[in-house]
Amino acid sequence: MKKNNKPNTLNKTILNELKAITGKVLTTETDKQCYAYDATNMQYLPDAIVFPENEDQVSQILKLANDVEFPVVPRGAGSGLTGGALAVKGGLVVVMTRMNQIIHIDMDNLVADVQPGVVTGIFHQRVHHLGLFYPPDPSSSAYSTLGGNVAECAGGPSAVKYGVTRDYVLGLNVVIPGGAIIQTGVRTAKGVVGYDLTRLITGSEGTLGIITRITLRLLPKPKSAQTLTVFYPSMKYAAENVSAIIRNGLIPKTIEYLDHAALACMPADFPGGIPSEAKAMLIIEIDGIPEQIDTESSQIMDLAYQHKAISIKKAKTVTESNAIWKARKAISPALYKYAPDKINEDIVVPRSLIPEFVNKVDELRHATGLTMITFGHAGDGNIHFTVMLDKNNADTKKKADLVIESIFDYTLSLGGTLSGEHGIGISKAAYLEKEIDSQTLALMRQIKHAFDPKGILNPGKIFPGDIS
Amino acid sequence: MIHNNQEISYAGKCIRCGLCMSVCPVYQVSLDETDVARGKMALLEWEQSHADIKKSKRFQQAISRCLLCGACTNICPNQVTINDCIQTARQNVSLNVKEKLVMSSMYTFSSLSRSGYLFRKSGSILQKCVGKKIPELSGLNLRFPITSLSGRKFIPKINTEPFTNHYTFSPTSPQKILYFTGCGANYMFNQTALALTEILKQINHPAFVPENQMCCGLPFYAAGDNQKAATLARHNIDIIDKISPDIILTTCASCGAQIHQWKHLLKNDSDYGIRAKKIANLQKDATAFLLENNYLKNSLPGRNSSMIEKIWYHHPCHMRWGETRIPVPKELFSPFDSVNVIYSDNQCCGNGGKFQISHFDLSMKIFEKRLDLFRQHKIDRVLTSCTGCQLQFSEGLLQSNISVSVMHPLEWIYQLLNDKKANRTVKE
Repeated sequence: MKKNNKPNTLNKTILNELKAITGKVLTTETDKQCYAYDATNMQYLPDAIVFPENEDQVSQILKLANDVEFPVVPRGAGSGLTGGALAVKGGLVVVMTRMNQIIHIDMDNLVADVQPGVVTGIFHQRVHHLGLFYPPDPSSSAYSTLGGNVAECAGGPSAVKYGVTRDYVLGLNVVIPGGAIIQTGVRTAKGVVGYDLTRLITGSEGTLGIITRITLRLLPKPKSAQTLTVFYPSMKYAAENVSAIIRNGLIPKTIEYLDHAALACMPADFPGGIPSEAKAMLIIEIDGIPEQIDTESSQIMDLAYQHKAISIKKAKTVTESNAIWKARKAISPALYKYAPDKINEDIVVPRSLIPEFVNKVDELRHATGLTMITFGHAGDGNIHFTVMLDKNNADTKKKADLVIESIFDYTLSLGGTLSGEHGIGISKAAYLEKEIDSQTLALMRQIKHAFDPKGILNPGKIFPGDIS
Repeated sequence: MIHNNQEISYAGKCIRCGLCMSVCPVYQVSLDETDVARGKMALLEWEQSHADIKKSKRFQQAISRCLLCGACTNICPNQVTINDCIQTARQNVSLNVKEKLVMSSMYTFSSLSRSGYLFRKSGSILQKCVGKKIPELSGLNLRFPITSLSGRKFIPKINTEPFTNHYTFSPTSPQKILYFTGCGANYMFNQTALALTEILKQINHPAFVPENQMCCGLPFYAAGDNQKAATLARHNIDIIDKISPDIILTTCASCGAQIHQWKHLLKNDSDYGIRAKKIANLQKDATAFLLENNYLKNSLPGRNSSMIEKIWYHHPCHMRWGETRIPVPKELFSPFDSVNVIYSDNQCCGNGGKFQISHFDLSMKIFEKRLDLFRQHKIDRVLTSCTGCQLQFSEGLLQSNISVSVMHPLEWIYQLLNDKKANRTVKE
């Protein structure tokens, strides 16, 4: 647990001004404790918390912050995994959850306008009832917000076929430090007028501006879907099977994989059970029109048997398939049964090289004796590589740091990237220079400076060396 | 007081993933992290090394703003026993003046002593005076506790004499059935107690209903008053063991759950602890008991019934989650072609016992979330097997001027049985 020893820059006058803007400013120890964490389980106390209710309030907050120069940390549901919503330098946490209106859904043009505090899962349900589909589906979708999803460019299991959050953001309203409200992007399928600031801000982790309105692209809802669960005697066969599926021109909505350690975290009531000899599992979901699904699923099943599948199960009902996905989404938190601390990396490698990556993990596991788990989105090569450990054990901690270092180096040597969907935040800032060369990084710093010359917005994130 | 409880160290297992936000009825209305489980777990962790925070009003409020519905405990991927953590924390946080008054009133109210009688008597007199100002809807009158009347519309009729004082039967059944009424059926919703005991008589399984049974203790337990809860538990254990029943029936889900809580509450008491364990194994929801044994099959009017109704069935939290989890009693409605049942969504109604008393507005906001469904469907009747839920639906619907009768499923069944009998008499 780290504590923030910086003097309180938010004096009484400023707090009163903030109160005049939003009506309420929280400053008690109780409140600060409850806005000090996110899903990284790290803790940094903010000095105050506000809940703006409209764009104008956000603008006034960022004007004041820029004038007086205090840190501002935008926060959605606080479900991020790299510390994006943590007040690492204290200051003001701006919670966007009360701007949670779905403003408009345009059925003719398949476009939705939403406020950033809308919970992703609630949005999913709403468009689903209208026969529409918003594909990005991070594990946290039942509680994370669309604003947070855009800021982190959240992904999810369906990226192999449908892409990630950035592929659905058409335009944004963003308040930048100083209080100016900028509008980026378009409401149309195409648009090349000016620089693509929408894409720049998507995934900028709250360092460039606070998103106040999002225009999202929607798709018609696929007619039906089929979920398959396939068990393998080793991770190697599962990984090779993934490559074979794609090579054969089949693009399922999702291909998720679990290694043996992740399998052990599945609930006892997992639909159909888990064969005792299974060492790896793929969850494959195909969507489209029913006839096409039938053809594709039998092709996939043939391929699975060619890759030594122990068993293949088709989910018979929607309830069964929901139960499968629920279990899959619960893995990440359930890993704590192995040890009290988790180091979680979401590296991406070209999917054809997943077998090589898995071999590397085996090698490191044998060499160090650490508990390592890999699972994730095999279809797009995005692997959640996790080390479970007790951070109080200095020896283990040192070993784990070395493992992470070599995993990153290996990932980059395969042509991969350090983070697929969690972002950099504070967790991975130290490694950024492994992937981004100094000139590119310098340009990124200039961009940050252009938006936020005084460095008030979400300081200490992304760039290495900003947090000591 | 220092926490040496295992429950509190469990709070350390919370990893702040945030999944509890997706199910917490309080958080979903307030959108305030101090209301959701992971916030409370963060506070309890902080409290371990900073005991002075207990004195802060905001902290006490955070600990108090929980329905103990169990939704987060049920979904928590790390199996943090959140309900226990919060209950333990409440043991160390003193109640505010209003809450103290309400709790001690409730204790006196449910007691068997002379003061309890006087309390109920004065309550029912006061009721008559206040009652005149309150619109009478669907036969609903006054409710208790009197100390928390402000803003409320629904007040059930309080009976000076508990149901148990009037009940008589001659033991004929081979199976010794004990009916633990709970305060709801004993003092307010007598119709529920009447329905069950009469149905049991009709099927030749009349129940023992001990006159001197007392409150199950849940309100006190939920408020962190383990001493009172344990006193009540011991008293009831003695009463139950005197009869030594084969089965204990409850008509209130919360009482049923509290009977299971007794064994945890008395775990350090070698004598009562063991007896509590045995008693927990005998507890059974009355509706489930009648359905499992097919006791209602022959007596229900069945398909020929001309009754057309749209019913809202609400499954209480104490039946949805935890030790007393049982499935929704769909078989209850299957004999009726013309009864259209809507099963309540997966969320707490917002009552939470003392929660509704301490946080009335918040409780009503939680309830309001389900009113959309009421407007969508023309509901004729709400059925639910819990005193707290019954009070909540009665109050919440009245607040929105929706006039629908709210009752226990067995009361509805009993009405049908009587109608059938009446019809038969006419035909004959």
